[in-house]
Amino acid sequence: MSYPPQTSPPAATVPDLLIGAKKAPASTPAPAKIPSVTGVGLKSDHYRDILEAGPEDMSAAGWFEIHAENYMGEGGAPHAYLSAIRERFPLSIHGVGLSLGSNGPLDEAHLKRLKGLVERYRPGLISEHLAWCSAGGTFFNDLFPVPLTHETLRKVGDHINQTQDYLSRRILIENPSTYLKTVDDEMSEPEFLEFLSERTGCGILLDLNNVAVSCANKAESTADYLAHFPGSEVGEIHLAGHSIDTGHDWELRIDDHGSRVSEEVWALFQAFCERWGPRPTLIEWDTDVPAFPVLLEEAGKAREIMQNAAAFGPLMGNSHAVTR
Amino acid sequence: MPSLADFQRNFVRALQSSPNHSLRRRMSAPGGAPLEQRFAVYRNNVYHSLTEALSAAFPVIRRLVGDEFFKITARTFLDREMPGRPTLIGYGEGFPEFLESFPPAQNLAYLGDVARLELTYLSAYHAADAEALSGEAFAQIPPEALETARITLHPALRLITSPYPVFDIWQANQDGAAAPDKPIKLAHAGQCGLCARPTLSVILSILPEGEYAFFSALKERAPLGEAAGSGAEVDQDFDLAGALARAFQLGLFAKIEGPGIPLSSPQGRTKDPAKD
Repeated sequence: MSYPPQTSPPAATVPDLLIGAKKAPASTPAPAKIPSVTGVGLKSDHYRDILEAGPEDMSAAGWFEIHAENYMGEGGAPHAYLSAIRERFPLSIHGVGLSLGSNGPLDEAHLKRLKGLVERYRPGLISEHLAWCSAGGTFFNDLFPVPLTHETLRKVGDHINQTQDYLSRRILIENPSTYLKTVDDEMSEPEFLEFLSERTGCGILLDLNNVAVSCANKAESTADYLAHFPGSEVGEIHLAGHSIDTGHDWELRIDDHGSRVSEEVWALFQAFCERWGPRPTLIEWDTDVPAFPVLLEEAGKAREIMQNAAAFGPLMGNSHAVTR
Repeated sequence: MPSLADFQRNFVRALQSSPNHSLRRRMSAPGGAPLEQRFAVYRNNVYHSLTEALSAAFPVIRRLVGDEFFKITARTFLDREMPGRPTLIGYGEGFPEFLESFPPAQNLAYLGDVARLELTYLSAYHAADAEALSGEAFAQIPPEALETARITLHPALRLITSPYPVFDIWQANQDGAAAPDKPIKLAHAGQCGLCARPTLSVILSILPEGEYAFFSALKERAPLGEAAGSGAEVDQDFDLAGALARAFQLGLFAKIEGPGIPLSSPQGRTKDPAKD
């Protein structure tokens, strides 16, 4: 998955709806825990829709998530809009640049920028990936796989500990989408994530689209994957769309976050909710971003599945499915 | 078993060429798609997303050279200069210089400076916030204190000069811009000007040379009287009152200090709204 940067300005009109916020900025609300409801990935195209919407329009979007790296400029419109949105909604900060899976040391300057954002916006959740994206001072803007070995476990664990200590916050680690299988793996990905969580106290961000993409690309079963997943450590769920590279005598699933959530992923979500109960659940859409109401529709669908699972899960003999 | 370090070193090499023998032995491709195709997904994510990032940062350059040429240019640039920081804000710093040295673009000598203008625009867009000094606050300063006053420019203000008409080229290549009345002349048509962001929107403005010299002197921390002298030296028609009017209209000053000037008048203090 690549993350299109939002470095270019949106429409250059004067944003009237920010004038109030700009003149008398309220203090950033305390880092409210993000409730187990649906949220939406924040895109600059939607700033105005969000700020102009009434509460009834926004009932399916209870919180927003940003890519940390898009807000690492000093000031201007991105921060003005984000501050105004943060005054109204809980926020999750999702990093794509820390490179926790790097063999080398963490980039301390980047960690510092991340801490600056955390202090400025006081997010309810902070997350990063089980992946690497930088090496030798070069940033590749994509998330690369790590072999699931004890060596990797030790190194990623140290990086997570360092990050959590530096931020004084617990972080969530996301399962990656992968296109390759590493033959040296000494454990499965669910096991790896469980060990990481044990070692560092971190939580897990379960991306069910990534589960569908990676399992298909590695010819593994999503049911097996989820059967062994440490569901109680999951602090957030991601849902997104992917595409399929077909027309050859083989198929590859491409995690492009550019379409609606697939039926397969909805089914995984329902199964997770029935077994483990609701979690803060995010709709991600990063390429060919549609009009905001489309994201709200997807969020509404997720909300319905979550509510049905909460209502009927216990009847199906599931003691975990309690609304938190 | 090879170390994580070896794995990552080989992986990075494979992005530039193809997976070497050692990496191939560490990877498997279950389910049919060949290893090379799987690597191509990562390679494509890297180069496509960074080309998109350059394209978003340099829309005028893309329009000037066309999409196909831009893609080739970006790809060649990426082979030379990948991002050095894990945020793409500010990425492309080396692109203007690259354009000037890129042989296929040699007949478009102004590209480098147009790219610099686009970088400057983005830099102003993301610059720190500060409340601008108001004309009223300035008017309260005793006239005798002005000569030696030192002005701090607004943190989003950028000054630009080029031997090419970069502002005209930029303007004519904005979405929805009307075609210029006559072709933009390149010879002896240099322009200087500023890029400002008084609130949230970035504003570009061409300046008379005297005014450019005046603001440049202020940027070098010259006292107001001396900066006015620099303006008059370059242009005998330099209009100080006009320059100051522009400064207050576009919010170019953040602070004024000096003997005889009261400290931090309420309108004059700089402030970061996010920290209030």
